Amino acid sequence: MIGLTRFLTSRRSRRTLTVVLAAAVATSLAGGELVTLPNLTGGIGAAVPVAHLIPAAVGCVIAMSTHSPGADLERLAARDTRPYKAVHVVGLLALSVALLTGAAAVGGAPQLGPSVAWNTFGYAGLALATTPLLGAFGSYLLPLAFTATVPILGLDTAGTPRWWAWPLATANQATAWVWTSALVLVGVAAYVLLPGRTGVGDDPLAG
Amino acid sequence: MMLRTVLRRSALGAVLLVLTAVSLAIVLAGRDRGVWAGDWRATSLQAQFPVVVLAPLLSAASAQVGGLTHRHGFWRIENTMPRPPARVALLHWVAVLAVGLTAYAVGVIVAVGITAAADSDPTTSTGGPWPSYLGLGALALAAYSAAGYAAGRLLASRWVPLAVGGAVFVWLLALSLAPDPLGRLAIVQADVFSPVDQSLTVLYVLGAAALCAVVVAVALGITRLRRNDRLALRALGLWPTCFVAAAAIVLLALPSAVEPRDPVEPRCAGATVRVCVWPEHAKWLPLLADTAARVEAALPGHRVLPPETSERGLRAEGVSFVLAGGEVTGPSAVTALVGHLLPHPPACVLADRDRIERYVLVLAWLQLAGAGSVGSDVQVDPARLQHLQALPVPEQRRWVAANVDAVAECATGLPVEQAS
Repeated sequence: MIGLTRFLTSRRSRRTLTVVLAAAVATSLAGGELVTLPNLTGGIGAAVPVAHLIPAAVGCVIAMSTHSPGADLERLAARDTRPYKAVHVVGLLALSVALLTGAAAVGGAPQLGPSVAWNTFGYAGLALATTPLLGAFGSYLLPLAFTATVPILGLDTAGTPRWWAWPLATANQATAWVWTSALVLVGVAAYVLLPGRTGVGDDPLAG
Repeated sequence: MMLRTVLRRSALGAVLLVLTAVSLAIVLAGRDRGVWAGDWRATSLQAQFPVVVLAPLLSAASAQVGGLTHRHGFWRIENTMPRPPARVALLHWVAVLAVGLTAYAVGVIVAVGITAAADSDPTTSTGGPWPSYLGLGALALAAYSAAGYAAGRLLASRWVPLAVGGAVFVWLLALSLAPDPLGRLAIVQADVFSPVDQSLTVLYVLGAAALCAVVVAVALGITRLRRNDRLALRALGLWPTCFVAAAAIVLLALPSAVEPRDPVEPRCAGATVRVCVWPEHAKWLPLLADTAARVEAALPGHRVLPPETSERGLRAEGVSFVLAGGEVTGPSAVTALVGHLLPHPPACVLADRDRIERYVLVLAWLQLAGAGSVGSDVQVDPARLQHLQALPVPEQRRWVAANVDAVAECATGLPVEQAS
């Protein structure tokens, strides 16, 4: 237990929780507000609730919280750190989903609960899957790329979300759940099981 | 040599893979290839389009690379190494910019290759890529990347790359919805549906280039400063902001970002009605000529279309039409060709229920006659259309001929209703 507490302390979990709480407050205050994303293909743009966009930031925050200043030392540790890693991200994910869906309900949009949950899983999965390649602080790359691309490619000419565009899904919930469940499983497994790439310290982009 | 070392030691190769995948996906799947393939102007616009996603990603990656100076005492190394710190900073920025430009270039090459294959006949070729559009994309990437790099150099927080990427994404999203003068600040002009008779003005391209140059100069000037809060605050202060603001104001003050193109030799076809289009739209010409002949034949004795009609911008006089962006279908061809009689309904038509219902009915009838179907954008009352079609054909023609010239002219009285 002491080991887990120290592990969580080394990940600055309090700061991460503060950010997730702020995201939950934002969800409760403005989660139901619709933002029209321009459909740059010339068709109809999708009106997306703010509650669907906040999980993109939360997913990145979860992945960035996996940063450890002593990652090189942890590799030499006598004790296997993988269970700690798993408990850390799964716990954080569960807490984030609970807080964000609860906030959506408090904010008067309980119907957004499932979509907020699958968006959190999906974006966190994408970000966690990036960590072995680009490090914790490069993990924003795939979620940002996906968030920016979905409004362009995710809608057909009639304005209907395509089968893979889970951030825009409203009715096709089963497909969205399948996609995001797979993503979060792959992401957590990649983070827990694969060794992180290191460049200068743990910031491989910096070279 | 040093650049190669920076690229090899870092994970920028992985970033290049992601950016290239994004660039290719947007070029190939972003819009119906039938719309832009074979049209050099539209191809150049389409090839520039990935910049709207590459810019946020590249600025975030640049911020992360710029933040290197705050990690592991790297600023001490920078300041004690035999090379000037500014040169090291420049090298890192050039490395990350090279990654972004390479991803952009891959998309450009693929788009150009597709159109070159479709436009291989030299006798009908419509030219080549438009450097103004392609150059604008490269300039935008340099400016957004430099701004991100400067943010990373100035601010030590690990959250800077994510914040910069998100901010650039929101900036581009907001400007894509903004009216004309503000939208110019995005430095991205990639609307493949923009009218074919317009091109960017030289002044706008120069203004955009100047703005990008100022942003890059100010951003790299900031990176020359040593890691010192007081200096960083000064760098964020008045003068750099004034330079960028001045360049932005010049860009906003230009009369227009686009101007009418000089007319060129059009492509024409058709016997009963001669239809002429810009060379870029030559692929739609058979459909337009065929549709024009059908529309004209639908109302014998009543001239709906003139003997010759040209796409806007080709002729100084005479009747012209405008093709809406996107793929030209039979119904959309009818809507374009009869646009001089049935333009987009003005407010007085929309306010008059009888007049707008007749307007829609006439347009639907002409689309059925010219294309065999009614376009999805024409919200006609099915009962009224069936009622009209149930009449004998001469009666239908008489009703349409009596209304087609009057429904869009609010000053003209409507003929006495008989058919509905």
